[in-house]
Amino acid sequence: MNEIKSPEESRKSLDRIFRDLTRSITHRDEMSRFWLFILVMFAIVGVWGFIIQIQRGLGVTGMRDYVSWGAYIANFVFFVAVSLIGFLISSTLHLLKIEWSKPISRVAEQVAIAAVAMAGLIIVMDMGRPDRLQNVFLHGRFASPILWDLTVVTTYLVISVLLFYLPLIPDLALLRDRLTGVPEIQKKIYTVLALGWKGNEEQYRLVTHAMRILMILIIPVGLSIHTVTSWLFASTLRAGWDTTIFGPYFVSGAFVAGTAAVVMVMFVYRLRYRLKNYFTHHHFDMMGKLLVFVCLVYLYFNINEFLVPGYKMRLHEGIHLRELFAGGYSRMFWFVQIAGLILPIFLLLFKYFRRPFPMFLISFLVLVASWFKRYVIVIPTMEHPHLPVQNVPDYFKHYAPTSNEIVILLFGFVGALIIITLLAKLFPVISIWEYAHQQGIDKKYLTEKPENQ
Amino acid sequence: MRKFFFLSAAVLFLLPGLQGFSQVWEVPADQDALKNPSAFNNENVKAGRELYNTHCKSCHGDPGKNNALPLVPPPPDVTSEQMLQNSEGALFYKITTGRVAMPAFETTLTEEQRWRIVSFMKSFDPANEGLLVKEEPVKARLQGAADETAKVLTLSAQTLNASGEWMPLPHADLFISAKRTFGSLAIGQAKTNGSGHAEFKFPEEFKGDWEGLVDLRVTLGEDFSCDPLVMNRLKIAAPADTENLFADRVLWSTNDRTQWWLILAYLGVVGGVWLVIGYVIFQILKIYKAGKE
Repeated sequence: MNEIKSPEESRKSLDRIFRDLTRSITHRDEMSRFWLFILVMFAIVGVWGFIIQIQRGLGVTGMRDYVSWGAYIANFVFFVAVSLIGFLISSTLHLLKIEWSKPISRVAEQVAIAAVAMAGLIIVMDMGRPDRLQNVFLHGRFASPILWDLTVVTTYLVISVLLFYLPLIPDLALLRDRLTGVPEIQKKIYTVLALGWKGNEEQYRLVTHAMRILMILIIPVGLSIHTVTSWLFASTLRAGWDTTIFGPYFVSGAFVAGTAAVVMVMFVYRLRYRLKNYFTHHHFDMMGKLLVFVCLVYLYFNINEFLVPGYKMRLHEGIHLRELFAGGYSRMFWFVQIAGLILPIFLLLFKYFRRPFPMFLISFLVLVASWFKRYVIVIPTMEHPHLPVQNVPDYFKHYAPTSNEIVILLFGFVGALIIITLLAKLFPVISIWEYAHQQGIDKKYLTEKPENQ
Repeated sequence: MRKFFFLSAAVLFLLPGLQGFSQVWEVPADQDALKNPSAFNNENVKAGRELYNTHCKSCHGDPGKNNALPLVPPPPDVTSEQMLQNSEGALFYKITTGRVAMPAFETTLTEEQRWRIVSFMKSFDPANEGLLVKEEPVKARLQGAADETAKVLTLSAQTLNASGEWMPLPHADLFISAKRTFGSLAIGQAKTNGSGHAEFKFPEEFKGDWEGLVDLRVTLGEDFSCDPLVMNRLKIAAPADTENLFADRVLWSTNDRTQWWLILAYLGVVGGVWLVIGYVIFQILKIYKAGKE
């Protein structure tokens, strides 16, 4: 925390911070309209693809009797993975009192909300009869990981939204009081959501108290969301899934994907909303180190996951591993291992690559590899069932997503980007009051009405 | 020169030994040139087929289905190139003498019987196509009843005679098989007596489903055009002693048999987490109230 500033300095400094951090809300140009237009167009195409799928059934996808979990499930696992970053940055690092992570926590929560909301939606889109969704709740089996997964995804979404909202309340009051040049309805929303914030001691105490509870609560929930997702696979006898380390393997992989996603969003904000002084080189440097760390943990689990069964090559496991190491999936497998793990670890050890732009490129590579990693986890195993595959047409034996399926897959990404964009367009991407507090500005200046209004 | 002599001696010495390992089955030239003394006609081929089914099929498998036993050296399918390149004499010699896992049939089968098997085998040779008069399959029908307590099938076969009347079919082979998950399982054979009737004693230990039900099919040989006799859900087999994996309170069982600890753990954890969420929402309400004071 910086030194306590004089009143004059504090007011000036707060004005500057407020102007910078609300630029994402006030800044409107052709570029942002074009960006939203593109996203909405893709989303419409995705919805159109989904309508076709509803009309004609899941036969429009590449999934058949044997590969009944296709790229949709890979996409689902990917988004659940990305969402886990919310709990790593805005809870774990926060509770450990790591100062540099504070301005990033709202970005992490944005990414978490967008990803987990999409994960839930993707599951519905993977259903042959989404109109029977309620049956999962009505007739769900307590012993089924699918019921657990549904429970934990909804719970995590609620906690993430609350964890996004609570530290936002003082900012909403600031927006209500100071923001000009936005539509009346938007101001109304701020007024309602600010809950009559006055900035008294009791309110600050309540916010801190509630946030602390949520930060602790989200740790077990966050850990279980991805552990349960891994159990969807690991509770079967299938080769490649039948392993005891799947829970931590998925969780550590999730941190890799999530960190990369947050770095990319940070970079775009920094560029678009001119936040060079807020997302500094130091932040990227630290995020780079964090990425190396989580990659190393993930590498450790990867070595365990492949070396130990690879040593034994037991029957079905051996067929599966041969398919990954040297068979039809070897290119994809080695791409995700090298581009998604080895290369980032190696590059990010050098300070040169921990600067914003190289970090952005590396994160993009890591994120792409993370998606294909999920594909490599889900599909090769499905192509090797335990019972003999016989008397079926050839296209039942191999899986590839159809164009209709790809359009719906893209909808997941587009939907997540729309949610992140809307959150950035409505709310500051860095907590103003926390940042101001960090800069040594006393809380009392936050509730002052600016003179020019 | 001495070296050459020594090498030649070594080669000559080793040759007979090598022959034992070779896959080639040498046939003496005079045997190879022998001709089949019995006529190549339907009757001999049919007799040969019956002999083949009794003596050869267990290792060589069904003709054309490549389902021979995996022995070393592998017994070839009778329709394979490897089998058909043999001359009649060579086949006769090989059946007579045998080799490794294949027994010699010199003492088991008469010379005439062995030549009939050769006729049957040569009927798969494309070179012999058209030599046999193609017989139209005879129209036939099967009827049957099952005595479930005595475990006996009473079967009868009839054939259509020239004047279009159904006549009893004597001395015909009936093949009984049961329907299984991935195909049919042969159970046994019966032969009709002079009046076209046959009885089949169902094997005691043959297992059906958990109730002892079994779906049976009875067919006639390939000389007949006949719909198979289908007898479904006969309570004639022994009940399969399948264990009901869902009877206990186990993790994989149905919902009404979920373990108590699991229900309690699920409800406890989910309830606990949502109580905390409720508490946080209550704090938010308190923030609202604190702003009014």
